[in-house]
Amino acid sequence: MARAYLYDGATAIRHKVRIEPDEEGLLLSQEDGWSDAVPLGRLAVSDHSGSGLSLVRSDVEGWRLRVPAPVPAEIDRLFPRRQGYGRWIDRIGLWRAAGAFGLISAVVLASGYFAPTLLAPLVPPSIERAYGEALVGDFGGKYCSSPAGDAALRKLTAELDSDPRDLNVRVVDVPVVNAAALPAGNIVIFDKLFEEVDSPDQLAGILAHEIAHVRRRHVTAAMLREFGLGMFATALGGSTAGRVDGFVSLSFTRRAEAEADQGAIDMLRRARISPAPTAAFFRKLKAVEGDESRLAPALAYLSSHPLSSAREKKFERAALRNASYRSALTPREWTALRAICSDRAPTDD
Amino acid sequence: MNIERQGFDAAAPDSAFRFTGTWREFAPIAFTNLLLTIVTLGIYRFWARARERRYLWSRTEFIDDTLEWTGTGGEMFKGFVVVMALLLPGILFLRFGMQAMILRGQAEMAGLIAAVLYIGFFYLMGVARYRALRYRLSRTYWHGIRGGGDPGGWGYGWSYLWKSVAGWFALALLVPWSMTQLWNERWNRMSFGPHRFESFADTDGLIGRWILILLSPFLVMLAMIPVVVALIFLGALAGFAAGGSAANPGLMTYVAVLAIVVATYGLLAFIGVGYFAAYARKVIDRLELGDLRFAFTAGSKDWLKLFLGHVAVVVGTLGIGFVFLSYRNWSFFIRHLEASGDVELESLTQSPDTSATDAEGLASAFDIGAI
Repeated sequence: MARAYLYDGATAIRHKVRIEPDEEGLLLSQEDGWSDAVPLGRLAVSDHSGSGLSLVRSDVEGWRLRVPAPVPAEIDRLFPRRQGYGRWIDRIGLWRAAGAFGLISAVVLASGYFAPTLLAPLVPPSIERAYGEALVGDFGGKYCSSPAGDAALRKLTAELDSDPRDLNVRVVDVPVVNAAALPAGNIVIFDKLFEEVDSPDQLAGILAHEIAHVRRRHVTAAMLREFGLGMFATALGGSTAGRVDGFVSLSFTRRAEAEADQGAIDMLRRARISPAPTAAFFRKLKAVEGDESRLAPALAYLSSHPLSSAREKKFERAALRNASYRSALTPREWTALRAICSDRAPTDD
Repeated sequence: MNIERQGFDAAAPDSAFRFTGTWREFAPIAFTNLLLTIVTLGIYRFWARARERRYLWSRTEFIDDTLEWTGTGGEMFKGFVVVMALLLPGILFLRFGMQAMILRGQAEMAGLIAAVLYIGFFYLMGVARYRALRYRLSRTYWHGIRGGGDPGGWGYGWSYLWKSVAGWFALALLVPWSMTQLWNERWNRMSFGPHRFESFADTDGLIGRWILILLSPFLVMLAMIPVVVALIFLGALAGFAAGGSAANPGLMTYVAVLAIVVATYGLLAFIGVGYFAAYARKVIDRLELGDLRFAFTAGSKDWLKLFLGHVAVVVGTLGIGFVFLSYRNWSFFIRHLEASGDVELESLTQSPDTSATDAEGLASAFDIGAI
């Protein structure tokens, strides 16, 4: 027999009741003779802590039975304390659940991290082409073309890549200083880049970098990553998933950029084009990025491209003292290529 | 069954609301929540929220008994998943489609669709705010009676959209008006048991403090003048002492920058807190439920102490203390919340509203709170 109070869910009035266990469950009674027997199956614990026991009844909304502490042992034992982590975790215990979830998450993350690189070579070109078509399209048809310019671009590509048939390098008239590797062997050079590039050898270094992205299937891998872990993180929401995705995608692109730089250096060496002008290009980029502050090396971990100065040194070191380099394009070809979108004076500076 | 007539005079010397939780009790909940949230890549956060609220509500006393939180992690997770599925087309467009359209030279069309989507998301944020409040009330029980509110919130969403926009017109002078109006609109559709909340906050006493916020950039500049003058003077003095050459210009610069940053943030925080303290007092003081009137006693100083305490807790624990912020916020809220008037237990009958089933899924999707 224990004292408790009851809210019946109909009004907020607090009723004093006595409770005792019986065969069916819990017997509630009052001094005026009212009594009610509630089967155990209909009772659930809403709170069981130092302040007492609170029970709810599944078939009556708002029905609450409060047994203040100390809860008599014969009642206490009917309602085991729950941890309240959630059903699955309560069943197997906190530490085992944390271990199991951690393992599953690690597998998900690892496959999100490694699968794109491993699976990229297996993606058929048709799918890649369709993806490129859907996501990138044709730049509104703003491709530039001139017989001499096209020929120069073809020549440059062939110098860098031994089998350029599946590469489709084009210049597009969009005002950004950049070049990009797109799905299905498409590489675009944005026309404005010609304003920043001083020599055909510099362009060769940049183009080699993009070809390396294509050859190492970085674009395909990035596409898989975006649809895999990227979508997963978006759907999950919350900051944890977003942060994990951010770091994975960052390390992913940083690795890819470093690989593409290495690939470009190899290509330039085979083509006997000096990597030194490309180093000069990065020096110029560094000036644009601003003075190298002391924070810069720390920030490198948070930026997708390696620092321009690190890349500059890498290309500089690759230049051999006594190698016999040749120019990537003749002056005439270079002039034609620079003027492929619009008339541009042979040199700016 | 005998019925005792019970009524409480809530205007007792002590506040009708009491918070009896301790951070020692809360710590195991907070840290296991953090652990499980990390190992599940964030999915556990819904269950974490439910556990946290179950504890905080159970340590919150109103008159003679505690509140009770009955919402579950499962229902909040489901609500979130449903909402994310509905929002997915829009999210996909912003993530992939927009770029594809711009690269095809259809930048205007892409911009238009994106603008429509963002306006739509803004509208839904209003709806989310309304529904989150309704959900929280419908899962909050006291004496076996729960709260509720009108279903929907779609009309509130429009109101939220145009009033928020209107608030920022007229040099943002109407923001206090839109904030109090929206608060009233939200709460006037909420209820507890059979009683409706009545909210009639106005902007008296808020406009001046709000104008201070709008002027704060200029005030900061004004306040900087003596600081900068003092620093130049000190710098000159230091240079003089070192025999005409600047002794340590590096250190001086650091001190100057630090002083300016600290002073700026201090002033901005002070002005901002001044407004929000007045706003919180105003809207809660003008809130009624049946014969109950509410009051909020936190002044600017209390808010500042809360925020500085937050900073100290987080910094002093190298960040891990952030798990206690929700606890500190709730205990701050309850410790400063008061109620006066009568609660007629007999007439406080069960809420007739259907209980909310969307479980603040929309609010979770936008990551916003309810109050």
